[in-house]
Amino acid sequence: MAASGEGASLPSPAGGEDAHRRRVSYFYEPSIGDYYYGQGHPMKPHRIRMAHSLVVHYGLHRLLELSRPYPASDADIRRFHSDEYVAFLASATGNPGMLDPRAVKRFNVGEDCPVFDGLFPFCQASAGGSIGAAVKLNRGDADITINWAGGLHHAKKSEASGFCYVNDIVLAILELLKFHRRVLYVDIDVHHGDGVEEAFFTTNRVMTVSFHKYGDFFPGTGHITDVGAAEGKHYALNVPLSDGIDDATFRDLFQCIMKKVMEVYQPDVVVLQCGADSLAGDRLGCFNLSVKGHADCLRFLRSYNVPLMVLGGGGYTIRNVARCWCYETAVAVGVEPDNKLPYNDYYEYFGPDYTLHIQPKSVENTNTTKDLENIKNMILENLSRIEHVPSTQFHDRPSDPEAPEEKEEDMDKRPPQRSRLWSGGAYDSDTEDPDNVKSEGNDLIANSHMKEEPNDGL
Amino acid sequence: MDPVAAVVAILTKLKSLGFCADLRIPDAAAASDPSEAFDAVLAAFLREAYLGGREARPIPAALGDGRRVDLLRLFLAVRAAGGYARVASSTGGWAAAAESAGVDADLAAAVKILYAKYLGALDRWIQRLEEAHGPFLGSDRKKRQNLFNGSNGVEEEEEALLDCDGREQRHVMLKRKRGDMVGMLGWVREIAENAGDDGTVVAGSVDEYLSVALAVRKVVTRKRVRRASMLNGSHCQEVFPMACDCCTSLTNVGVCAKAKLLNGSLMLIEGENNLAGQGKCETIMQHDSSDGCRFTSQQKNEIPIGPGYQAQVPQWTGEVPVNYDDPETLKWLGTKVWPPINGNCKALFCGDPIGKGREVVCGCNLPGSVECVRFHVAERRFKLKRELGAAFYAWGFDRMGEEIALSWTDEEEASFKAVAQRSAPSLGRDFWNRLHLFFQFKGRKELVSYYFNCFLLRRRCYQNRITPKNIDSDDEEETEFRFLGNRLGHSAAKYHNTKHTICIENTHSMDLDE
Repeated sequence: MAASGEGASLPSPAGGEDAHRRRVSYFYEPSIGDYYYGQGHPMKPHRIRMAHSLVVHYGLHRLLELSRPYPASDADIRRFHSDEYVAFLASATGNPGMLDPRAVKRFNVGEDCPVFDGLFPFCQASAGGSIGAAVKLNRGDADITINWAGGLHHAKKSEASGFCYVNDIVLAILELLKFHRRVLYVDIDVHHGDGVEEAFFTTNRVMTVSFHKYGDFFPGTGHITDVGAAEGKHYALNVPLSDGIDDATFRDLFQCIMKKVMEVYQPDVVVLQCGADSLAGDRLGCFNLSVKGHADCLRFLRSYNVPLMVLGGGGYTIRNVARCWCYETAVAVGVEPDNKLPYNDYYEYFGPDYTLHIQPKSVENTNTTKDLENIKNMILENLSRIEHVPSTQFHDRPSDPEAPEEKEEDMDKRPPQRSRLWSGGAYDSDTEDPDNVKSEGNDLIANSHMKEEPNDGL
Repeated sequence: MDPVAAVVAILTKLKSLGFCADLRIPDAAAASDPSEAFDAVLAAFLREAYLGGREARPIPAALGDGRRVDLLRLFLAVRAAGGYARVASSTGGWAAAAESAGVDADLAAAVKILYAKYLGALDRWIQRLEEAHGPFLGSDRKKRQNLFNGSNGVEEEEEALLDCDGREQRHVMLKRKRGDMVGMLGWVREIAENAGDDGTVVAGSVDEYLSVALAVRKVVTRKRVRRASMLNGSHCQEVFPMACDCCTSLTNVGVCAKAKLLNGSLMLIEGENNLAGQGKCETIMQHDSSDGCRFTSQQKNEIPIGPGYQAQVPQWTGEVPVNYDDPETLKWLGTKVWPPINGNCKALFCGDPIGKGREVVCGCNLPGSVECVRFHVAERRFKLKRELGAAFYAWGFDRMGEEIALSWTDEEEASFKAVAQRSAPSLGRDFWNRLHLFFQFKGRKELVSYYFNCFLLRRRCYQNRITPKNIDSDDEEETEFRFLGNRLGHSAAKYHNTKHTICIENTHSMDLDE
């Protein structure tokens, strides 16, 4: 079946509805696929081009607004990164063979993060797309923005790490903070989102939630007891997981935690890092999620009707990355694509079955029910501290700490510029695709069903 | 030299190196039987020098036929002749040494082995000590302690070299020349190599390299902890699975030097040589609180806090920027490619419904064959070009897939494949260098583009039909090239229901295993 209706729509705390299609804006730099980290390096920007090819061949572009990003300048990148580091990145690109060994050590470029030809333009495109996605949301031009070239969550202020050089996420969130009081960052990459967590470790204006493999695994951070510091204490959440987590387990945990997070934190905007290395069969990852299970995270957050930025990230079995990000683009625009991939330029990459979805592997899920229960409890316990500690973050006027707490803030209360975000239709009207429009009534039925028994079709 | 005085001197030297600190040899005992006293000293030394479960050598020492050898006499004879190295290099050196130790000269080979096993380490330690400070120990001990402890912050190059960037606290290391790094690495390598075979451990020279090694390890482990590699997926817990037993089990630690080679990288795990005689042992557990990675399961990496790490987040004032329509902001919207600005896109939506996949059936002679797929892909491209118009080019669809090959001649394609095949077995880092050499007129981008759009695609095409169970082609380093090297017989190259597809296919693109 082509183009089924909206995906899951869970009741949002603000009573939002999910019947309307979102205005989705998508950033794509056509030269991104030709950047190359070097021989044998698992990070392949080509995967973004493959994803884009699938998106267009499924016809999803008709429901998208697509832009080519404006490259972020070094001044823009310095909004987060240190001057010396940015200067190094900008200059290193020109002559990778003539690097100062001290700088190489200092900025941690080398094996994981090679200085490759075109490194800086690559960072510029990645960061430019994410900042653009933030500006779109700030202006109220879109409900969901996508940049698959973004999501490089390991980059530190003065240091490259884990294939990431410029932290486009931090730059995008800084842009979002101009218009939004509270930004929620959610990270479903198999690796801990350490760069973003560190950048916002001491602020309560950004809450970071990372679901990741923990224990003998890069980058080694993301312990459940790391909860933030100073004003940011309890505004960093870490969900450490073990090998082989499957769709059902992940979904239960994700939804349980995110439901509470949305309720307690009430973000004005959500940034979701969709690292695809948490998929089954990833070259570096060890989780066992299907494309559907992975995309359920997006579907769930989308149902809250909060402005949403969707970013890429890891993902090293590139055919599956392309599958995943194509499907998630479809989820964003509310389409359920056929499983049989359309013929496309990279068709042979998806053999021998040439399908959109992948089967989880038959590996053991080493996350025991008890462990998960403990994790859940610890996270919820941490969240309850936010809820129960009278704090100034939820006040309209932070300068007045004595003002009464406003817990039931109206989610629709927006800065003046952000007009009519929630009633948005698609960029094109729905007329040429009537199957896509579901009545509200149907959605409500779907909702109640969903609440009873979450299933794979969610 | 008087044997009694010699034993006392040896013990003093060892103590100065941090060994045998608790050992007391009563003067009377030393005087009555210096050889026995020496055996006691040696036994204590060996216990401390060969920590890590190595079996103690039987003392008193004996040759294969049971004859006892006076180790003190042997040792003094060899030392008098200039030490192990000197004796070994001179002809008849061992025979002379054997004779002075009261053993037949024709047992020189056996004596040599015995010396190496029992006295080699002691010889080296004493040798180094004497080379560094002359044969007599004097009042320089205090000075050397300070040197060793490195407590007086000295500015130096290695620190800068090793310091990772301010993420770690800067620490003081001994001022050393760079050459020492090489020497230290050599020393560690030697230990690592010898650690496995029973009997020969090079204790090394404590004042030369151990301190450097310790300092390097300290810095490297910090860096490692913070900078685990994404590729091997490991971090500190894997690198340091245990505490150093020897450091905790002994009150007074000599040198426990064990080198571990893990993941191809050099790791030193040992207690600190207790030159200062404080009986204290630095273990790998000890780290500064600011960046400490503690290594038990309950301990974790700390998140560094400070302006060097966090982003600057302004307080929320409730006021949003007023001039958000300025060019500086609007530039971020980028270049809109879709929907087309002027085009009537609705009219173009005559194509397939959104989300539609491929048709299950097609009219091709051999559905699923390479020709069939090529035909349908070309058909899609054509449709897409019509629908997208300018966007087709703006998104680079004209530079996707096998279309790329149009700008390559057959010879060039064959050469590319040949270079890839030649690089297959070892696949060092030179694949791209070779390509660059071979295609000097093609830019890096063009080569990379061909690689992903054609080369890998065709390999996958081949794999899908020949080895559909083994298609891990994204992993160019391992599987793909292994696959290339795997010469499939012609019978294997048959695709069940479309046998002659392969033949046709081979003529233009898929002759990878020829």
